[in-house]
Amino acid sequence: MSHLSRRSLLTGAVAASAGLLLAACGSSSGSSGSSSGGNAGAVTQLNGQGSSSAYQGVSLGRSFDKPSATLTDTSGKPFDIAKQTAGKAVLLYFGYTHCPDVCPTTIGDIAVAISKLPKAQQKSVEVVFVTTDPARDTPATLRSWLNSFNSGFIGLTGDINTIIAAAKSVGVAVEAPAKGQEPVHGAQVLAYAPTDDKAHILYTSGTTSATYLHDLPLLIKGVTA
Amino acid sequence: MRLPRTALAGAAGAAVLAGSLALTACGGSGSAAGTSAAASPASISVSNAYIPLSATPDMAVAYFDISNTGGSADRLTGVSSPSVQSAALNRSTETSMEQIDGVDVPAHGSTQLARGGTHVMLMGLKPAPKLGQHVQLRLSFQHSGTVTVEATVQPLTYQPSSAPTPASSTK
Repeated sequence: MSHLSRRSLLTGAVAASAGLLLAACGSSSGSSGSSSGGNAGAVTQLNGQGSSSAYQGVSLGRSFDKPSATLTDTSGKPFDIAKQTAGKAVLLYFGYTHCPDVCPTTIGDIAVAISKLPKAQQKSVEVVFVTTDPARDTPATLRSWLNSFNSGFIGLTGDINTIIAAAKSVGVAVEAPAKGQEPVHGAQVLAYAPTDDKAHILYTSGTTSATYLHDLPLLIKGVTA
Repeated sequence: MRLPRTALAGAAGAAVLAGSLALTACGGSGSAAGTSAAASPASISVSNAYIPLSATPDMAVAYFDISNTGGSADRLTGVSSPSVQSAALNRSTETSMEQIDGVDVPAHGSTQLARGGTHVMLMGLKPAPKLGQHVQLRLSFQHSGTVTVEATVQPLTYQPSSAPTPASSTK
């Protein structure tokens, strides 16, 4: 099979074409989705390594306290995260409602997992969604969005700097939204045990509902690693 | 991971289209061994198109699988729909989202637009989508022209059974 040289191919191409479009593929496998898929791949790897942990989520290797922040809940009342979720199993996530892909997928996978738990266990888990886009995410907007998943999920909004500091205290990167740009937020979910009110496990973007369903009963029991 | 646009190693599938010629360079792709004359043209089909019922009134997102049984690579360059004000190709990144100008489909290969990865963002759907309804999407490919597909409106938390791991890459 003869192989055209790049030069002759290009020369011929230019000569033959009215307009020349060049495109470079990402890799030999050619799947342009693979760059974002790297995230999910990393989860699988980490899960595989954490064989000493009962959880399928990622062991943090340290623990995080809950953010010491008071924000505004969806009824417009002040909400002290640490105080008002004390003694509960808590999943904490920072996101925004105009996020088309990752945020609804993450909250949806959590909602599906919780819906499959026995009723008593469902009541033992609090899901706390803190907006990273407080200018658009009013208490009413948050309530309406969260109700599509689970009317028991807690939605919090407030001053962006308070939210950034709260996120930073638990290792989640959040930036103040800039005009014309998509909000930037770390997409990980932190899981807090009801026994010590600390996070020992996190879930990265792409974690399946099956993983949450596996881990939530452990979290509710207060297993810390 | 993306090669610079100047990378032209192993140009494959130099299919001549009406009026314009496009080269798709896939570094290290096996199809590069074939000459442009020998490679069969891209043959694109789109399946499993769905739109999760959105929790946000003014926007939604579409996902689908693209497969290419032809011997030349192709590239999805845009999406439109008679039911939306605008549609854009986007990719979710570690902490945000970016608009992209195309999605490559390798020769004899496939690409998934899936949760947590590459997706089509739809703004201003009219009428508001209802469960089970079909929304027409018109996919523009560099070589294969327009492929029309009906996306099914699925529940908000729907995950296709064929893709247990969101955003997994396909070979």
